[in-house]
Amino acid sequence: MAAKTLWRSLTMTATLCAALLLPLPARAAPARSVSPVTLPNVTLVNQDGQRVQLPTLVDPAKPALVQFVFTTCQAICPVLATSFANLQKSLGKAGEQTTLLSVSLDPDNDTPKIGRAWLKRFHAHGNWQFLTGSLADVTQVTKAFQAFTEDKMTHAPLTFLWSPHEKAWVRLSGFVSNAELLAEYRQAVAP
Amino acid sequence: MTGRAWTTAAVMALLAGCSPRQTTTAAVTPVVAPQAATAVNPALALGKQLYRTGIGASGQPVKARIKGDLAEGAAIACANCHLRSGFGAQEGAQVAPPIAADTLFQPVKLKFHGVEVQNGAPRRPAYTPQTLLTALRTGVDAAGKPLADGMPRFELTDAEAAALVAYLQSLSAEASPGVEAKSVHLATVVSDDVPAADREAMLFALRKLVALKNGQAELYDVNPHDRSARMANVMLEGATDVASKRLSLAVWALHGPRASWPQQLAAYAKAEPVFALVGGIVAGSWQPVAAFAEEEGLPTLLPFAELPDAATPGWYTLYASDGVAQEGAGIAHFLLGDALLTQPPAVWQLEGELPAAVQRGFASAWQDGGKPAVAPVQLTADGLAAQVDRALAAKPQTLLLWSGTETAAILTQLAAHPNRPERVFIASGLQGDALLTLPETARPWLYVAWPWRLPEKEPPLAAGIGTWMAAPPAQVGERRYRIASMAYAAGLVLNNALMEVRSKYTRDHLMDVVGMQKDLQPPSWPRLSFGPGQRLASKGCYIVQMAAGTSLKLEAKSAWLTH
Repeated sequence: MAAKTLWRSLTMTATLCAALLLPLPARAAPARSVSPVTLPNVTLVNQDGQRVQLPTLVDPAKPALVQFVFTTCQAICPVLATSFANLQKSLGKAGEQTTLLSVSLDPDNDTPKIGRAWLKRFHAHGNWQFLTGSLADVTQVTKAFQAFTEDKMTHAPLTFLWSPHEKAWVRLSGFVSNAELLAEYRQAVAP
Repeated sequence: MTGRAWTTAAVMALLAGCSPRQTTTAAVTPVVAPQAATAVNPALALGKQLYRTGIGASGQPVKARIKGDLAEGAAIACANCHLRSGFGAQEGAQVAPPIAADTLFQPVKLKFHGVEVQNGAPRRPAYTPQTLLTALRTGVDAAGKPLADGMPRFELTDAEAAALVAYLQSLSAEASPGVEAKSVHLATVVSDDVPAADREAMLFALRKLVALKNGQAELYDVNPHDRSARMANVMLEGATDVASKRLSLAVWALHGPRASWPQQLAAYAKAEPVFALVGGIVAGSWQPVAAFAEEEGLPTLLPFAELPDAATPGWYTLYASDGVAQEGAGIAHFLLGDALLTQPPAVWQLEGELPAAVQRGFASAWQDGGKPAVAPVQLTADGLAAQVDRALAAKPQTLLLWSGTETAAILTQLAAHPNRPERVFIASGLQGDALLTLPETARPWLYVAWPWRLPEKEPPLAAGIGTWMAAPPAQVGERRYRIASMAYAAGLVLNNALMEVRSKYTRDHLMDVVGMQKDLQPPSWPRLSFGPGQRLASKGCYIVQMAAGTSLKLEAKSAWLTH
């Protein structure tokens, strides 16, 4: 890389970082978009140590939700997981049957045992699974969802909802309240 | 990462520690009371508990609303986002601003293109205890603006609110020991029962780190306007004092019985206060040093610990791995997914702390995988051949052999025996340099746990690590290559962290930024990864087979196994 270009990119990075150090303005709703996602045919490992093929976990006729998390993340992931917990609670019986997938961004650290403890922390039950695997396989999944970041430390709060109604993955970017997620869920199941 | 990219990262890290300009210290004026006062002040103790754990005065989790939704306890503890030091963090685009005493109770000035606007109204006035309380409860800041969505709106009793405000007034108000305007003092711990050559390998590499950093600091002090200095200034975003800081390295040599180590460590810490411990090597368990570090709140980065103490709860010691126990776990992970295993493996365990640790790692992972415990056959070095003969009567199909210097003799004996197991698994960490001379006859059925990067993927010595060793690896040996790379990795982690603390030199902040660090790929490990509260930077291992000969040629029989 030419010295000048390197210099310029460093300057830009610095300015960007300085700008980012300002607190973010409060946002009312998460940004919503519809993503074309093809689930990669990777085998992941769930909280019970069972090897599961990712595409088999999502029934196209039913809603399913995906979040990318890691268990030692303290700022973003507990808030994301809380939104899954709240959704399960609000939906009652339907909540138990809804597929919720928390996919680890830190598979080296997040063993099935650690995933199990993490699910327990959020009172997960029913069909909420914690998925880990090899870093390469997890990367395939994050790339398929356009949620890949170079490092887990730069990840963003994202929730994906498979909408049988729209036959597509709805991408919710940002923190999502229970009311917002419930509304999305209902829209996904009821035409 | 390619060798080249890795080199760039390392150079950038080192370079950035070298630009001058201003020299500021982290001496921040205490607003109310230093943190040490929490021990005697019940309000501060409650504040600290709320801040770190989200547990209220009643012992129950505190509740809060995030975007109107209920959340509680550990999930909403302040330290999660703002970190233990309170200096804040950025995770992706999510920013948790600093809330340490020196920021919360000062106005936040407007910034234009990253430069503070000196005149005019601030963006946010200094908090008073009252406005802070309002912000915590309602999410409206001192300027009357709403805080970010992710910030919980807390339901606190008056006593809890007062305690939390008092704690925030004291948070990170004092700089930690070991840092001066122009220097950062470090120490490394070595015990006198470590072979002299191992000790020297560690010290040689650490002294190289110090010499590199200090040489560059010197260079940039005399030439602050050259291109590298300007690059460093940009990377450091104004916190440039680290660039001209010199490192000093004290050697805390431990002598005599381990029971006396805590007193020796305390005496060293008192006589020459340091900011952090870096590297280090002792014979046996690292536990006494870790316990001391925990008590002192003293960061310890990547000691060469074959027997770390990661199972004991702690926060201040970051290990490179779980030592030899990680190899036992790796073998369990391999066998749990192994179709060839038709009967439970046999375990033969020699005496000593190291074989016992391998067995601990194996047993824990094996039973986590739902398998019944395997009772090891205990062997002693005296009359070993006869014991091996007896143990072979059971005709083990798969043998896990937790031995060190005895391995070659046992393998030779197995090779000649009709009941030789089909496969024998060993831990490389128990073999030392003798690994390369294990009998060739055994190698077709010998499987080795390998917690390092595969040799063909190692970056060339010219990429940097070469100069961190007193002699080339062929002369220093396998073990001392690993010791030198541990020191090298410790240097990288330390360098990155010193830049990331952004002139706020508290020990808690150092550990905070280490926990938020991105993955590194120094020599020896496929990847070191970090996370808040994570104790081990490398979590897996390969299972390999060794080619003939005395040079390190390995064939991976597994992926990098972490579970």
